[in-house]
Amino acid sequence: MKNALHFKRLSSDDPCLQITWNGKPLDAVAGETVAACLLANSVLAFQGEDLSDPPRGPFCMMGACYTCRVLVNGVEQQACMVEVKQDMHVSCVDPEKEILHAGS
Amino acid sequence: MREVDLAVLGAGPAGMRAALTAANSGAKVVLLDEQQVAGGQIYREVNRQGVGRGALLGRDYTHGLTWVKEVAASNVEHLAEATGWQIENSGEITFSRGGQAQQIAAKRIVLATGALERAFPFPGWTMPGVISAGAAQILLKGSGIVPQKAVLVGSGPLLYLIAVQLLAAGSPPLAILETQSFESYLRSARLFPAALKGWRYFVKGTQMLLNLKRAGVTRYTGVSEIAAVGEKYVEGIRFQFRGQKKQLACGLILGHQGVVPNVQFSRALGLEHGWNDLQRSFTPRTDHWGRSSEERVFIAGDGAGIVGARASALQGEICALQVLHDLSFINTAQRDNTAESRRKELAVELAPRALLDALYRPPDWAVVPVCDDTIICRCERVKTGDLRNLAAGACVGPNQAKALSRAGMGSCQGRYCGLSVSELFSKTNGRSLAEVGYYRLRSPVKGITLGELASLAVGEALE
Amino acid sequence: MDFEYAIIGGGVVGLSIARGLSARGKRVAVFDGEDTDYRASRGNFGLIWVQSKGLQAPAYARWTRQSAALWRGFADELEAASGIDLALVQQGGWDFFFSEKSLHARASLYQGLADQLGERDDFEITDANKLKREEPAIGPQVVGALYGARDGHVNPLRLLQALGQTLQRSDSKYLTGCIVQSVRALASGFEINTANGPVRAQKVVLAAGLGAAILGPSLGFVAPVRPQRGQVIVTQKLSPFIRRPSGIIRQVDEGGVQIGDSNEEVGFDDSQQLSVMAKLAQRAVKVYPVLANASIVRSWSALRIMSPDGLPIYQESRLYPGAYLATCHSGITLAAAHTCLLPSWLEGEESAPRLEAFSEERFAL
Ligand SMILES: Cc1cc2nc3c(=O)[nH]c(=O)nc-3n(C[C@H](O)[C@H](O)[C@H](O)COP(=O)(O)OP(=O)(O)OC[C@H]3O[C@@H](n4cnc5c(N)ncnc54)[C@H](O)[C@@H]3O)c2cc1C
Ligand SMILES: Cc1cc2nc3c(=O)[nH]c(=O)nc-3n(C[C@H](O)[C@H](O)[C@H](O)COP(=O)(O)OP(=O)(O)OC[C@H]3O[C@@H](n4cnc5c(N)ncnc54)[C@H](O)[C@@H]3O)c2cc1C
Ligand code: FES
Repeated sequence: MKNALHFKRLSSDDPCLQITWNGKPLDAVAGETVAACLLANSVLAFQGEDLSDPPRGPFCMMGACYTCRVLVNGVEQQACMVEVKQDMHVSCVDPEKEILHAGS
Repeated sequence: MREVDLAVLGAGPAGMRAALTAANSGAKVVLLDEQQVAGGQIYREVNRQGVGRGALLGRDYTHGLTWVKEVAASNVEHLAEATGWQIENSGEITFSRGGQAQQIAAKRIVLATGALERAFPFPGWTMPGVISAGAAQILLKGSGIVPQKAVLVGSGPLLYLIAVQLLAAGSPPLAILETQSFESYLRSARLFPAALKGWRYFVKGTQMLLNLKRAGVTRYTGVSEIAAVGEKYVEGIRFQFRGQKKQLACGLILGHQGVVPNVQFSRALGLEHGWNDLQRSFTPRTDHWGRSSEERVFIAGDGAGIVGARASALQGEICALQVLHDLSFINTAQRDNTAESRRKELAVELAPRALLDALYRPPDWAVVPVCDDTIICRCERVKTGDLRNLAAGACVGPNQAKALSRAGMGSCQGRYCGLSVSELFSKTNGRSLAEVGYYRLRSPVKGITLGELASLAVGEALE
Repeated sequence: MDFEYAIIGGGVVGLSIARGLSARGKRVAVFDGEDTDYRASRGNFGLIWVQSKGLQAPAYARWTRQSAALWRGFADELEAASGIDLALVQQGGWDFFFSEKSLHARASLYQGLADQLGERDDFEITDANKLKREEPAIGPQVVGALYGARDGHVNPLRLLQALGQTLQRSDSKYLTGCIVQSVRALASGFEINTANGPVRAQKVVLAAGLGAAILGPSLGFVAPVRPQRGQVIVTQKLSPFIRRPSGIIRQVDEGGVQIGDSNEEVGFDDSQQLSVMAKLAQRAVKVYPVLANASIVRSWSALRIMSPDGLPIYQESRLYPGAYLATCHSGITLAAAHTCLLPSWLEGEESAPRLEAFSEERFAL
């Protein structure tokens, strides 16, 4: 069911922003969270997609379960607690890259 | 450090009413919440909704707008996007805002951090595509996105409310699988007369079921042996219904087994807790003003035991009256006059609670999975069988189990495994839950960076 | 007699001794307390640490070195018996310095000890440049480090688990949730009283950590141990970037970076203090600046078991021969010695290690 439509935006809200997910452009709506935006674009797994771990997706949407963590412009955040902004770069948490980032 | 009379953590109904009550009598109040706007869970983002979204979420939802507006117009200093992560019994509260640690010293603290959904572990529940039903509601309220052809599974009034909200949003669930059985109705029958005082709830409930029926949503009641089916992502759900195995194809499963108090702060503060068997959860001990075992710390709303939004608000007011009295803003007569009427309203609100708790009590297998392979600790992927082996061996309780298995050591800090682990120990070793206890929780209650913590260092550095 | 040995305390000290005894075919009963007891074995830093140990007490330095040298073999056997990976790495460790002066002051103390022990290549002064090559993530404020070749680390929770698990599989008994209320010397042997009734044993070893101070006097010990608090912070899991452990920071095998640890004299109080945590964080970021962005997953505090001079106490009771006290503040480091060497001392064998320097009579003055 990976590519089926899982979430639909209520029709009154039209996409009007752009963000990127692992470098790919995605449509976003002002006011929605990063987690919602990814889900609306059929991204269900936020972690572990390419790693050996089984994939993990968001679960609680209220900042409690921590399985929605992503890098937002290079800083690790809970995707369900951050609103989308124009040109935001969102990507999978990659511990290796992250520690290098942190050094700069 | 900034000083205030009262710091309220959590801007849901309990926190908003506590803050307003105190501020309206002249106290200097800050209200902190990690969300962008006040409202809490029930009224999440209520002031940001277009007319359309509010209408489909229902009147109980839009009701919150009044309070949110009142907070905005009051003297309450509302700090949004302020995530609390450490509180001391002395009244110091430390929080993150925009990646910066800040501190406030308060003469009194009201914890109003509400509830969390109870974890509902079943085979496959960690796969992408399984989210909590509350999460689906948050997506709808906060971001205006609606799950498509989802299967709702579990029990509790919120399950139906969310089903109805999805229906109103034009995306009815594929089916509702209800884990409560005929026995739960029998068990709760004796509670009906007392509950009638809260008749509003039942009218609402009946109406909701009727709407779902009209829309052709299939309900399966008394289901068991739930499992998410799929390789890496959800492809369906399997369950047992009336003695038969069934399977539905779906890409989303929304699980729910009611809500339980969010005890992260009350535990980290070392406050006294007791086991509430009716609600199947630990609750902090409070007196009838909401004061905890620490003089300066009060708890109001669902965080002190599940009571629902209106009762939470009333408890918030009652806490604030005692805070005002402690700090000599009002005298005893003033306090008691107002408190008396609030308590009367509260009694009406609480009347149906016992019935709801009994009716929607999660079945044992929804708290402690039957299958040894089912993950209990999501963060560290600790399986039921590993914990059962520990409990059957020399491991004495949840804290030793945490050390030996890593269950509860991950980022969620036990929020979604704690109750299951305690119940597993109770069941395996035949000890009461009061004896078994719970994880020892510690600050920081929310994930912060080391840099942020370091920014609070004062005085001489360590060699 | 039900058992040859009763060991009171199922922390890492009691369990290490029990392992050694049961390997010799002794029937042992280990008594341990409740879920929320003070347990240093659950809250420690996991170092097998040699440098800095016994700077004023060569006997302790030797004992520590002996244990560190035994650790590999001890771990291999325990891993084979339990199937649990202890994540033991003994490839040296650092002591970091922020000023040249304190580095050299420390180095001369190390040299003094090395001379006394007749050791060569005991330690090495590592300057900032070399350190940067060894530890690329090191920060500019670190002026250098002392390198100790014998230092290492282990996963202390898996050590605890492996010791407990193998004991349960032997014909010894691991009685948990079973507080010893009193001990009585009999004409021959001892009677151990718990809420579940009495148990008899030929000999008794008091290894109850901070609990020893309570039971000690009834067996003729002073057991002058006091709590000393240590606070520890752990970050999220990160891919490996710290090569070697130090006394204040190490990256554990699961990936998290463990940051410690304070030394606070606050009595029986294992709560946390934000001001102390902040300083630990500040120091860690100074050593590895990349850590500033790492998020904290957990933190805790635990109580060390300290004797007045910080050295272990091993004592046979004068009043009640056959009763022993064993306690130390570095129970991870000494676990190998406790398993491999203490049993022969308890058995009174010729080959037993000389432990007079650790008698509690040293505090009698
Ligand atoms: C996901 C979910 C959805 C729900 N939906 C409904 C519903 O639709 N209808 C209904 O009747 N009941 C609903 N409930 C039940 C709801 O908990 C109560 O009805 C009511 O909202 C409780 O009010 P409260 O003030 O106690 O807590 P809440 O309304 O939960 O408010 C708690 C507030 O504390 C904040 N908070 C928590 N931790 C921190 C922290 N560390 N730092 C800063 N702020 C923090 C949260 O952001 C939140 O705003 C829901 C519960 C949950 C968990
Ligand atoms: C923060 C910190 C960091 C540390 N770092 C290191 C390190 O890096 N390397 C190192 O080598 N050491 C370290 N240590 C020290 C090490 O953890 C201890 O030396 C060791 O754990 C002591 O083990 P123990 O068995 O004596 O005590 P504990 O682990 O405290 O166990 C005592 C046990 O006795 C039981 N007990 C008490 N009374 C009774 C009774 N009456 N009846 C039955 N049972 C009883 C208790 O339940 C408990 O389980 C550290 C300690 C701390 C606190
Ligand atoms: S989805 Fe649970 S923390 Fe974001």
